Amino acid sequence: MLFQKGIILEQHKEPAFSKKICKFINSGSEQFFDGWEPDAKITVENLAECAKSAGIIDESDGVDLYKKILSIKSKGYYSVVADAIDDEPYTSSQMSCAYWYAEEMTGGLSLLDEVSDSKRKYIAIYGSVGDTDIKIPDELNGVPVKSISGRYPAEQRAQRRLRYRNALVVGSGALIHLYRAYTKKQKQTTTFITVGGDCISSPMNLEVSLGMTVQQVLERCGLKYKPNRVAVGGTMTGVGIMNTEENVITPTTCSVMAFREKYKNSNYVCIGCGRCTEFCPMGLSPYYIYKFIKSNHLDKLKEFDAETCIGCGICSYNCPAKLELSSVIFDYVIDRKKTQLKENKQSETKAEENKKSENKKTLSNISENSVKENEKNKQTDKKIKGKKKKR
Amino acid sequence: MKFELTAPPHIRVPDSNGTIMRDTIIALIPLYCLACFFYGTRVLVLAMISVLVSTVCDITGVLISGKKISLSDFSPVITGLIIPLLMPASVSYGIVVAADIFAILVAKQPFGGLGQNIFNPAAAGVAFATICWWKEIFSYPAPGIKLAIDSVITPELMTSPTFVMKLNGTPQNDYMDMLLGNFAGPMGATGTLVLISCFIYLVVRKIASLKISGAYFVVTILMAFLFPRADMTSLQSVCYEFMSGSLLFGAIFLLNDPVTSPQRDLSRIIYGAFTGLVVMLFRRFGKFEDGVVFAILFSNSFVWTVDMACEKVQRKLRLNANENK
Repeated sequence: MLFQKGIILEQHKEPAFSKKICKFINSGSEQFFDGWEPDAKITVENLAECAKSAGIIDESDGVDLYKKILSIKSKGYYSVVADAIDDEPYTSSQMSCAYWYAEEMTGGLSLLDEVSDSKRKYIAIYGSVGDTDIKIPDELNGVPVKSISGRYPAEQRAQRRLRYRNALVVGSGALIHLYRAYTKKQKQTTTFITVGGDCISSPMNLEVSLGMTVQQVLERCGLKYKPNRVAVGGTMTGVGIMNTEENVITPTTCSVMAFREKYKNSNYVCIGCGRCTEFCPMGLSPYYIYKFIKSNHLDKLKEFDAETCIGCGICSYNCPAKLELSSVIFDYVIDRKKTQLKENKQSETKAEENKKSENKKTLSNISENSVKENEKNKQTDKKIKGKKKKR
Repeated sequence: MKFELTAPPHIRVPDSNGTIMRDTIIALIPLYCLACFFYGTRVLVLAMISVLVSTVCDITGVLISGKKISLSDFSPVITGLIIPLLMPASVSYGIVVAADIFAILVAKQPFGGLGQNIFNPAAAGVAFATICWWKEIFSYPAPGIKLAIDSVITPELMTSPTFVMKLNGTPQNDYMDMLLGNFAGPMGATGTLVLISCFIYLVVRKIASLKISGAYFVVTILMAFLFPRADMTSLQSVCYEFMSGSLLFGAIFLLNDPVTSPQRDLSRIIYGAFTGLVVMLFRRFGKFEDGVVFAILFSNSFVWTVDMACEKVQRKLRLNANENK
């Protein structure tokens, strides 16, 4: 009950989703790599090397794909899941990847399935989309489709659940690139994005060369009106950009949105309506957290579990006073996590220095035993470093 | 193209503070129509004076505290509209003006203005007027007789059901009259049917909270059912207690004031139930025949405590849920 909160958003997936994915690629930008040959029976290392030399990055979380593949050995995943959960309005890049490039995507998925010996493989698609012209089938190219439904933020909720069930979740765009790398030795030089928003005259999904500017992409799809805000990376969690000619498309860009609406500084104050608290999917109280951050009463925040904020943006979306609740809270959370990491590192380095100085003392005192001790210490150092990496 | 830096999310709900306050004003208009039908145009003059005084007071308060004046801030208008509705139509203009000044310049602005006040301004204003001029506040004119617009008038007075119940009697009003508002009482708080339709509108527009008002209604009805005053049947007691005085009006417009109500679902239920309990206790043991505004002010002061306690409960729930996952 507690974690089923959230909001129903109008999805606006059409007309982008029902159109075929257009290619918008710089001529001659396709690159191929050498020095890697497929083994007779694919192994984890072989596939990881392929992904590494193709330079594939998972678009759903920004992690290098080869690292994910290498983690198969240590974690022994139960299932392999293609992530096509586009729960943010207007965005449909992952869904249309899965639908229109089903062959390549399922090819990539079965490669991972073969390597990891998992018991299940399926495609997770966001199901609570009422306005699409295409009905998403129950099976795509022989792979079952699992509909993830529910209120926004369904993606974060689903990912948490999948992680708990020990599933390997890979974005559908990355799977396409993996398949291409394995069959054609093609490097990742493109990414899939949705161009949408109320200023775009023909919203569509594009396969775009990396490094293209946002301006080029916007011009490709045409502008009906002059936009007042352009955002990259989603309507709810994406970043607003200041200059369209300087911002470029990166592997993790999933959408480019142009909106006409401009929020004037309307001089509103919080009237305590409680809508932020009512809809927060993590059960937090953004009303109090925001007030305490703004008034710099940071010591009181411990009781409010502000660190668990996922930055979904529901509080800001609902706020009738148009306060920047989610960005203020999430910035604070990120700052806090960074300082915590730094503190941890500092304390660890101090501990290491202390150990080293002790080692020196022992070296000067006893010469023979010290060698063995040193070896032991080195081993513990390695363990500490390993822990750090895990963190 | 160059833009200003904007923070996510890039889409927002169309609702704003302005629309919330506008909706509340829309919900108050039918009550004025009804009062105008029963008591004549004096009601509208009262409303105009009250709105004017409270707006002027609010602007002076804002200017004194050195803030910017917001044109979309209709909160003093709402306060100004609510105060006369909780008084009899024959009340003199001076009392309404005093209540307005107290509401804005004592109960609202010194606490930091809109969004910061602990006590509901309208309730505070009416409570102040009740303590100072309780005879005028509790003497109601007979509905259906158009009142003159003069400042001080001596109308034909009627006993209200709340007064009869205070004297341990049984009111003799017709239920149909009580539903339509054709009985003595505060000029905006008598039309039960109109009030309920206003409440439905506010709930649909997500301004009134069903949790607060629902808990309040449940407790008041239960109290009236279990402990009827004098020798009424339980059902009579429920009908008369529920429809007389400002019990319903307070639950809809004063209790649901977003600034002074708590945040969490649980704390909202506790807040509503507690206010309901205090209202019924005030009616039974209090000096005045109706103590809804006092009860609301009383429970306003516990909002922070209740909210913090519920936050701790919520935290335990969160921790449990995380452990289970």
